[in-house]
Amino acid sequence: MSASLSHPPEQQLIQEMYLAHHDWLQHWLSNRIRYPFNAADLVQDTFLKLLQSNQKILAIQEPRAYLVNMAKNLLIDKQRRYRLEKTYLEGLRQQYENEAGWVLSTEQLEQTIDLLEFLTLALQGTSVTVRKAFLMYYFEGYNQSEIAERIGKSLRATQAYLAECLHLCYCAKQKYPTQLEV
Amino acid sequence: MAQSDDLSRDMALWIIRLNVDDAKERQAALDEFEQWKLQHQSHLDLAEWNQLQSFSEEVQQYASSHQLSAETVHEAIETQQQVRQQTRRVFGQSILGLIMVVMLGYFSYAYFPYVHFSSAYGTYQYYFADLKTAVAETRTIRLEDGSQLVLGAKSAVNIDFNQQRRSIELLQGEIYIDVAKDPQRPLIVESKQAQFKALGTRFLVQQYPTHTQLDMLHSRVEVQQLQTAERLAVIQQGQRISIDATGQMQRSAIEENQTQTAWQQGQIIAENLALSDLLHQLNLHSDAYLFYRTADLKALKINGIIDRHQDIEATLMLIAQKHPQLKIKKLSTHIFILY
Repeated sequence: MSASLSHPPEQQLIQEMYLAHHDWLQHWLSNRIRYPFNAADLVQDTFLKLLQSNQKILAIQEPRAYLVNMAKNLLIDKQRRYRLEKTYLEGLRQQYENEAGWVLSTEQLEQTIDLLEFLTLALQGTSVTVRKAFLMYYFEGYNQSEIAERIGKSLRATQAYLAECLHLCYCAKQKYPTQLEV
Repeated sequence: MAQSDDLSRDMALWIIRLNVDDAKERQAALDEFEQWKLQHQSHLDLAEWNQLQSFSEEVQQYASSHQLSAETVHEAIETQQQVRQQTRRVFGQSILGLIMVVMLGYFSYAYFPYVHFSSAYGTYQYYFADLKTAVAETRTIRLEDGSQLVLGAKSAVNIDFNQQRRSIELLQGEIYIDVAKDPQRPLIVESKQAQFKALGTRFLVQQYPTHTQLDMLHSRVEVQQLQTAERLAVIQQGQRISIDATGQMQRSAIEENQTQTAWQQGQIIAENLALSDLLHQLNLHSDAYLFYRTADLKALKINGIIDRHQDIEATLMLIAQKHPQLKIKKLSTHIFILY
């Protein structure tokens, strides 16, 4: 009796949810996700996140739908990271092959993947042309007139694209500060 | 809040406009900027202005400070959009959205022709291939003509059958094929280096970065130059060739049954196999990232039977034990540098 009293009610509710829905959620997920992701891990992460969040458990009307939605968002994050790492490392491998005397470090890899994740999150809603202008300006060193010509837009339109991306990155910097400790 | 958001939007535009290359445009921007500053004097936050400006400069440094290329960023964003769609699909939503993104991906590919997707050698081809397998996955497919096609791990092919010919383009990885007889319609396997014309036979084709290996398990095929289809050689049962883009061929003998069984069971029978080629094969079965320079590892020849399903780290350690001149550095659980 005293043991259950020492738990705050929120935590006890999560415990109950865990017992009631853990197996169901894991089963539901294991039918839907594939290697390299694992349903058991995802279920653990989902409940961990539930514990950490400040969500009022009492307010959850449909616990299963709620859990599935949380798991979905977690999976999106995990997949993003995994695919980013994959794309980046595959490219890097080619580069490594072609450039002698190049040293790689774990921190450098981590930082770059963080940065890629940040840019991906910041620019995910932009159109291809807008992104193209951004990449040409910020990553390839083209000047604004050259970019306008290449993408077939006016200088003013090009400037608006660049400003839009800069603004998005700046906002994302406030929103996801952990991705950008450089 | 909305007002400050508008303000930082405006500031971003001013930062871009003030950095324009055209002198006339810059002067015009400067003049207009002075006016704008006067109008917004009361709520203009100088600290934020400076922050945004230095942030813009910081972004400009990313390419060199992180050795990040435009292609890498472009690919990362494209890939991310596919991930979102895949996840939605997993959770049962929006098929239409998926189609849109596949199209978007295609258009952006068509749109970025000036970019050299060095890292994407095959990446896009792989995404849009007719048939493909993931890491450590194999697939057996019965083709419409009755031929049996087995795709090795991380492999991709395009298939094009018509009245005149049956064509299989090997984009990456390896295939085993047992060709159904059809004298009217030869079957042609096209790799990056050569094409192989068969009427009814069994053989294995493995695509390496700079060469293709062909193992004849039964009967024979004609090796042809790409495009011209000029005949280079006829390869008989029990022969193995390795051909590069210049048409240079290296021949050796194999034991057909042993070769076929080994491949089906995921074993590599290495006889003077260049370490770089072995690593390429191992990578098809593992999620690990192996960093190496082919030129450094080509001279190291490996002999023995290697199990592709074994944990890659264990395999690498075994090789390093036998060849002390090989150094392996582990960067993380799944990233290794070999030199």
